[in-house]
Amino acid sequence: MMLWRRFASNRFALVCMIVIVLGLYVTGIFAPLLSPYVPTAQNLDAVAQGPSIAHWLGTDELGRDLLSRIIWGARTAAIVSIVAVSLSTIIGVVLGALSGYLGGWFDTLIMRVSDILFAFPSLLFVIFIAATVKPSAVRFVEQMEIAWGMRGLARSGIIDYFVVFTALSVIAWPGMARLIRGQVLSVKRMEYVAAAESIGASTYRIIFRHVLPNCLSPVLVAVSMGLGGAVMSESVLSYLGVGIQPPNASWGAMIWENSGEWRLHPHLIFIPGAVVAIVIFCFNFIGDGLNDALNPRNR
Amino acid sequence: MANHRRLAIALVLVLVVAWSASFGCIFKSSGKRPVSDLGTSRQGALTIPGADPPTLDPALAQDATSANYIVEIFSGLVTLNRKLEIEGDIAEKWDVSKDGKTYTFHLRSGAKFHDGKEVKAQDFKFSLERAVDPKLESVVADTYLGDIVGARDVLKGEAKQIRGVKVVDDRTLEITIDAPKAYFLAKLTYPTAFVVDEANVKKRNWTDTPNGTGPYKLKQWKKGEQILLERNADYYKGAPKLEKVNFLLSGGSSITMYENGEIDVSGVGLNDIERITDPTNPLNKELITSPSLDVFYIGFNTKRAPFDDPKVRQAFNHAVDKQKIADVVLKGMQTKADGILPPGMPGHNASLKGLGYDPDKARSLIAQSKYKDVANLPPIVLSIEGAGTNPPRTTTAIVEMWKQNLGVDVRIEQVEWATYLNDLKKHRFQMFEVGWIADYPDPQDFLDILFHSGSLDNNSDYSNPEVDSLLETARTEADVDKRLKLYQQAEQLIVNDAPWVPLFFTKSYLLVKPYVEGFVPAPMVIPFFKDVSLRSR
Repeated sequence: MMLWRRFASNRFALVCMIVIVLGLYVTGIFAPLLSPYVPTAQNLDAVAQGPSIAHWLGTDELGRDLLSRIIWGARTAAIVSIVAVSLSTIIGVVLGALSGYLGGWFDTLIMRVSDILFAFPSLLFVIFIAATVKPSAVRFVEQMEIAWGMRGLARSGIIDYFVVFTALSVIAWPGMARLIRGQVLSVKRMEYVAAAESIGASTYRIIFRHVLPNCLSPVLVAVSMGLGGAVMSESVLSYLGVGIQPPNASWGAMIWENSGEWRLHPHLIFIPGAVVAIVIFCFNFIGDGLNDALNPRNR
Repeated sequence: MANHRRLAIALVLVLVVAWSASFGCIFKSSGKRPVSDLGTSRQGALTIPGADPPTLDPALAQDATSANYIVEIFSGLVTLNRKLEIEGDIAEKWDVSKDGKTYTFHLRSGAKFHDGKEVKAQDFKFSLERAVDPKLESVVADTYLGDIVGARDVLKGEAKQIRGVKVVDDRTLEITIDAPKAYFLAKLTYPTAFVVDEANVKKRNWTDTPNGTGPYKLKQWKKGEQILLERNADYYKGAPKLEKVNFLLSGGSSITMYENGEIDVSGVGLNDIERITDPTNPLNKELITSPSLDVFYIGFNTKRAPFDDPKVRQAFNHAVDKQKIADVVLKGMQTKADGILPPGMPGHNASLKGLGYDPDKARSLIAQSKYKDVANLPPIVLSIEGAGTNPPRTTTAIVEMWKQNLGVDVRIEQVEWATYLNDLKKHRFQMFEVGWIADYPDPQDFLDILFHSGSLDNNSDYSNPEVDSLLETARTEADVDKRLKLYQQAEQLIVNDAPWVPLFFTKSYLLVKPYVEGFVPAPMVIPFFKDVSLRSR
């Protein structure tokens, strides 16, 4: 509660938080109810229109309603940011905590693996994962559908999401792991940890009941920044064509689809671009606000 | 086989950001040139965007990009002129025997390779036998030379020499074919039948320094950067006016380079077409459009579910609004296709009955099919050429039409070009989107090669005995009108059976600087630059 009050005292961060919660997550969750049109429905009699009463943000080159696509793009961004960041946070926190607390060969192993992942250009690595994992995933799911008599899964675009989650988590966990490891290294020398050890608490209990809860505040900040980063990465991947595939809506893919039209219909690129920028901007300010609120020196 | 690549070209045309094609070749554009060098070295040189050819070996070329360079560097017995009529090239004239099976070619005197050696009949015999040598593994030899008596025996490894090719003397060559076929001479205009120098092809990497007979010599080929052609002053039909052709291979926005004066010719893509066709735009005066002899289509594998049922294929046809695709998605740049033969091709049938847009009929056809309902259709994948970027707008639009009109979800799969050709040939795709551009102006080049059940290029695995027999009769029919009628009958039957969804016939849109003269885009690949010249600026 103290944390919330301190966070809320930063008006700007609070506004950003509201924008994100309403604009990204609520919109994303209720996209089917909020969007005025089906986002993939094309109307070739009304292409590349400017804003109007029927289409608040106009239509794209295939006559699809831009507002509906932005709303469904929010759904994509919301899902990707939550799932990818959760995965990378869980992996990073568990591995980082074990690494920091246990030390020894386990620490060396995890840190060298994360060094390798850090050394690799992350965008290239994400594209590599997306490009190699996807075809086999699609084939696997199709086989599964045939074997179990299911339908439509391989074609629904779920695999695209799965691939993007995987790719983003793989590049994001080492940062989280490093952060946690550093925290654990300082916390594990605290007296209450020594006390827990002395009364014979198990390693598992010490890590997850005593050490971790005391390391979490920087994680909150990192998660907030990470959510913005995930939205950005998803847009980049979809822009490059290795992320969410059309006709499913993604802001990055929308920018790509309309990028040739910048001369004639600049709003088709400007709107999705601005939406991505606002979302990332807000996430960063929330992160800053959290950082200030959590910093003991500001108390 | 030859076709694929060509098709490919048409495909790439449509697909890629650069909608920039001229005479069958993709026009890519290119990297930076130092401005200082524009003034001097461009004197007498035409600078245009180009693409790296997969091969410069005439016997191996199966695509328009390769053929574009090959027809300038090499030549053969006969060629196609600007009006797409067959005319003598190295052969000055020829006689055809009464039964229409034996062609006697009389070679012109003074036809020389670039190194000055005279071309003799023996060189042609060597070149033809080299092309069908199974060790060369040419994928086009069967299609373009298979009519010659004995050529298939050599291909199968059962003979060393082609029985049907006889050297009478140094300047007389006799070729015998298996049946009187009207289109045989046209096939000889294709690079597979071109002449090469025996001493030259024995060298390693000989295509880097080809010793051809054509109007231009390959001066330099820096892969991914530049191809420089220089005129052959000894060319037997007279030295070309244009001294050099400079192809820039490294890509980039060709229209921007054109506007900056770095190149003399550029294709126009979907994204620029509205701007360029606006009469108030100064560039509008430099726009040249011309129809190509090609067709772009979606093919079904007629042996695989659910497209083994013609009703399903017809339903997929009726559910696509081609007029909208052509007018709206392609901004009117291309013409919708109901049939297979493009306008301008002999035998093109303006009154052909296509499977028009009719969603109700499409749905009832699905209900009449053996699947009864879309819920019973197996998963459907449409394979397109691509490197994993977002699919082109036309494909997205068509897939959405199937969804809206039939309720069918179709997944788009992208396959890299070389693999795509291979998979296409092995009939691995359920549904594919590709194009086909003419090799020679004869309907046989489309209908027989793509739909005869025995053709190696029948990628739909289509087979209809009635169509086969019409195509076979047409092969040897001497009367031109009757022959074209036979092709039109076959085409109508094919369209009714719906192994394809024909989509559109393309046109090329080119910007050409006013000082470039004689740059008239051809509808297919023919020797081109010898008729171009530059006015001094």
